[in-house]
Amino acid sequence: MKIRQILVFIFLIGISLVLSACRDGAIDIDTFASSVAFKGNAGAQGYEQRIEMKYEGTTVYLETRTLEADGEGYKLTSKVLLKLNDLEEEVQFREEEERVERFTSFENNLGIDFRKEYFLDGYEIRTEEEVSVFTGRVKAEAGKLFMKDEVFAGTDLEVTVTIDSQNRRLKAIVVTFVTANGSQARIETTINY
Amino acid sequence: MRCVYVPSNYIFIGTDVKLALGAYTFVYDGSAQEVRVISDPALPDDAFAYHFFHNGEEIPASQVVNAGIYQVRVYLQPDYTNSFYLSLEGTYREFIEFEFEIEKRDISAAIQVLTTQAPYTGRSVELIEVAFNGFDEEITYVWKGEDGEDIEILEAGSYRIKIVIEDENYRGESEVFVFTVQKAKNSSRPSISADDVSATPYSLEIKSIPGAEYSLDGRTWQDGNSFSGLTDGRTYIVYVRYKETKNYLASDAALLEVSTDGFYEFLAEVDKLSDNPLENYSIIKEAERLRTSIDEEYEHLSGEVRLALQRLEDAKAEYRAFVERMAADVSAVKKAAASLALVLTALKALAVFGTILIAGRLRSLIVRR
Repeated sequence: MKIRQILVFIFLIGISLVLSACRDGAIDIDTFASSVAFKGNAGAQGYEQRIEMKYEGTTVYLETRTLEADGEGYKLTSKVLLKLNDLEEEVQFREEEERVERFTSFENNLGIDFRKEYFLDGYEIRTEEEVSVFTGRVKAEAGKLFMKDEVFAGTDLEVTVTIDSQNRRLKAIVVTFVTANGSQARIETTINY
Repeated sequence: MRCVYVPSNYIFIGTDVKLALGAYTFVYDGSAQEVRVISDPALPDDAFAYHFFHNGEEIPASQVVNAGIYQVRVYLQPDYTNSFYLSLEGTYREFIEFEFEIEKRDISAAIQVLTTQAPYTGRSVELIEVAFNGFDEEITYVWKGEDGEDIEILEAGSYRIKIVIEDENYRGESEVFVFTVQKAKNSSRPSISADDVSATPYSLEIKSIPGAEYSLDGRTWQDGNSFSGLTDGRTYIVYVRYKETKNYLASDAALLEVSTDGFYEFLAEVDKLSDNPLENYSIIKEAERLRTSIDEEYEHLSGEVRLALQRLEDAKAEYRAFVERMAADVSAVKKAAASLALVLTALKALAVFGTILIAGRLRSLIVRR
């Protein structure tokens, strides 16, 4: 029994050394992939998200979502600030009532698949004192894979990921793409810890 | 004065007495007149008995009051018949009859006209109020033209008239004065509706209403029922009222908000439509507003308008399709946004169920506050 415990202890030490070695290494695209996959950086408490869609430079849809702790669980607050009306309405755009949903838990994970091979060459990584920023364009054929959505029809998919330079935790991810009908979508998610 | 000769069979037995009335003319004063004779030789008044007649009937002395012609028969009282006899031109008389008159009293100076105006009613004026200063009784009067002619006061206008007393006991007339019949208020009002107006881009024509007049500002009125030189696509308020007549004032006006045909403005607005449906929203709205002011008949005359209407309908359809496309895009973007957020695993309502199912496998992934 003691031998088994010692082996487990040694194994854990080894794992720790490996992780420590990785963390101390250079920040590359895999680092961003790990951060997006929340590997080793659990502890998110919620997020703020801004969803915007523009047509010919004019915003036609704007929504904010906020997930935050609320008592024993979590509260997701959605607010549509701008939405296109049909002709029958007096004004072209409307604002909708705030909507609140409650959840007891969430996964420390995003619903995308961030892989190096999905990106065109020429992606950029910029590291500063506090943050590192990845900017890359997803290959045309990899959009569905990246979004993990077989019917995703967006094009010109660009991804910007911001992580904490020190602890490699995901801070924010911004995705832009052109929708099937030619509008420009921008989704910005900021993770709160 | 007129004396009546009365044949008689009486025999002369005394002194011949000749009579005359003290006065043959009196003026009405509301009381019985004191009618007495003067005799020659002079006899006391109680030597005579008086019998008065009016309109062929004998009346008591107390009724010798009202204006008119009266007769009085003067007799000798019985005490005197043995000593005197009444004679006229040497002929013996049982009585001698005289005629006298009570004249109407002239009260012109007492006439006070109280009303000098009346509204037009469609009927002749029936009463002009007059007071007779100092006289309480009812005095009959009429009104006549300034030359005394009969006059009917009916229609609105000014009349030069005078009050003429036509009373049993009074006479007289007022100074000529002006009596005014005022025009009456016309309580009816023309009835107009949007169907009564036809419009072109620069003119409006309202249905013709007999006796009506028209205005666009409620101040300047015209008999003609059309207005020209107006502005394309502008809204006006049309006022219609019955005009003033000889006897009636102008009626209250009926108001109707109408627009000139927005023909050119509509075409200009449709011309603004672009390939960007988003920008077309306000243009479509304004074009739709202007469309309502295009006269339907005029619309059919103009191929240009028909084309513009078709273009507008196309733009509307395009906008609706655009809204649907954007809605589809929003759904796709929201789906993508869900993928870019932390994956929510359990609704609160299903928390227990979800927890039981995945408790072991996901426990390490669940973040609890």
